[in-house]
Amino acid sequence: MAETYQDLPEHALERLKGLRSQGNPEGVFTSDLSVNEYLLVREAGFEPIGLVMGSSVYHIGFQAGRWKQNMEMTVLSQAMYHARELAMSRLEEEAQALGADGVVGVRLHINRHEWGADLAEFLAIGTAVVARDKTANFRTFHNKPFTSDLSGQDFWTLLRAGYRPLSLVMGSCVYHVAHQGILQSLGNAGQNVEMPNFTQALYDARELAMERMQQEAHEEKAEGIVGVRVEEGSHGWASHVIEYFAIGTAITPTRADHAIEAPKLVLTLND
Amino acid sequence: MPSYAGHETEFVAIGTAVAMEGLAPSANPVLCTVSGQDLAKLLAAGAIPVSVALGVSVYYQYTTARDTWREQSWSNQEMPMFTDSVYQTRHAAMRNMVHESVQAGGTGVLAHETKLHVYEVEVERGENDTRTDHVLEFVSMGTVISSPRQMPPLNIETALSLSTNALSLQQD
Repeated sequence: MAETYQDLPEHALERLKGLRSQGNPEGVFTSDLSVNEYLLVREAGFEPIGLVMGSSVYHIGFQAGRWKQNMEMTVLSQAMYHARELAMSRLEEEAQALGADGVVGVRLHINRHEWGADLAEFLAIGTAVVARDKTANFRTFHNKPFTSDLSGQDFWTLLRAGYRPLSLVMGSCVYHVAHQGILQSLGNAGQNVEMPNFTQALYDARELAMERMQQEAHEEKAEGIVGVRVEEGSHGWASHVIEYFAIGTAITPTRADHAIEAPKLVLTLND
Repeated sequence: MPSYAGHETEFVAIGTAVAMEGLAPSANPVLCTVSGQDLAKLLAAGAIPVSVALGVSVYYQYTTARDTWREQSWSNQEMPMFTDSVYQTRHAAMRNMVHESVQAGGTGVLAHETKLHVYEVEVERGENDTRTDHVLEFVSMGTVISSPRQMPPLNIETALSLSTNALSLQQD
C-alpha cells in the first residue's frame, strides 16, 4: 500500500528522505537530545533517526464571555485543540515518513512571537527513534508511531519497569471566570472569605481538561497516563479568560510483573 | 529585530583548548559544544564529538490581502501561508545543519538549540494599504558526533540519593 502524506509540504518530505530511515541507513541523524538522553535512548535499545516537527500558524477566533457567568469559551477551546492536533498529526506524519517506531521527548510549544494579535504558532518537536529489536512492537494500537513527552531518562526507566509509551494525550479547556457583582464585592470588603464562585470555576475548568485527556488515553486503549502536567495559561486573552491544559504520556504494560531492581542508596558529596 | 541595515556584526566563540595524553596535536582540532562531563560520557559509550554544526535560515514572508482578511475573521482557522513559511524556514535551516554534519563526517547531531524568531515588518503597498510582513529566522546549533553502530553496554545502576538537596540534583 502506498502511503501518502498529504499534510506535509514537499520540502519537508525531501529533507526526511535525506535523513536516516530504514531504507537509507547511511544518512545522518538529527536530534535535540542531550548527551545523557542520547546515551539512555540507545541503551534502551533505540536509535535516534531524526528531529521531527509539526507546526501550524493559527488564527484564534473571537468569543465574548458573559460578564457575570462562569462558562467554557468553546470557540477558544476548539482553537487550542485543533491547532495542537494539526501540529501533532504533522509530527506523526514526519515520523511515519522516516519509518520510525516512535518519537521521544516531544515538546508542544505555543509561540506568539510577533505574528499579530490573534495569531500563534503551535509547534510540536521531538526525536524520532527506531527499535533495534525488529521483532518487538512499539507502535500504538492504531498502528501509528508512539509519541511521548518523557525525557530520555524517564523513557529508559519506564521501559525498564515493563511499560511502553503509547501516545501523547492532552486535554484543553478555555474558561471564562465570572466577575462578581458590586454588591457582592462590598459585602466581602474587609473580610477574609473564600470566593466560591472563583474556586468553582477553576475546578470546573481543570476537571474538563483532565477529563478530555483521560478520554484520549481511553481511545488509545492505555492502562494509564504518566508524567501529567496541568498548565494554566492566558494566551493574550481578557483578564478573566484562562486555559487549563493537561498533557501526559499514555502507557501500556509490556509484561505482567513490574518489579524493578532496588535502587542503590548513595550519598553524593556534591553540594 | 536585529539590524540588517548595519553591515557589521560580531560573533564570539569561546572554549577551552585541550590536548589528549599521548597523542600528537591534530592539525584540525575537534570542536564541540558539550561540557567536559558530557564529553567523558560520550567517549565511554564509544562516540566522539567531531565538530559543531550550525543551521541558519532567514525567510521573508509576504502577507497577501487574503492573509489579512483571514487575520481579521472571527472564526478559528489555520493561516496556511504562514505555516508554510515556518516549514520552509525550519527545513532550510535543518538541511544546512545536516549538510554540515555530513561534511564533518559525523553520524548524527545533538542539537542543543532550535529556535525560531519572527519579526514584524510594516510595509506600504499603495494608498491606504499598509500590511505587516514577517521576517522569520531559524537557528539550530548542535554537536556532530560519530558513533559506531553498536554501543558498548553502559551498565547503568539506579540510585537513590540521600543528600538533602537530592531534588535539585535530579534536575541536572
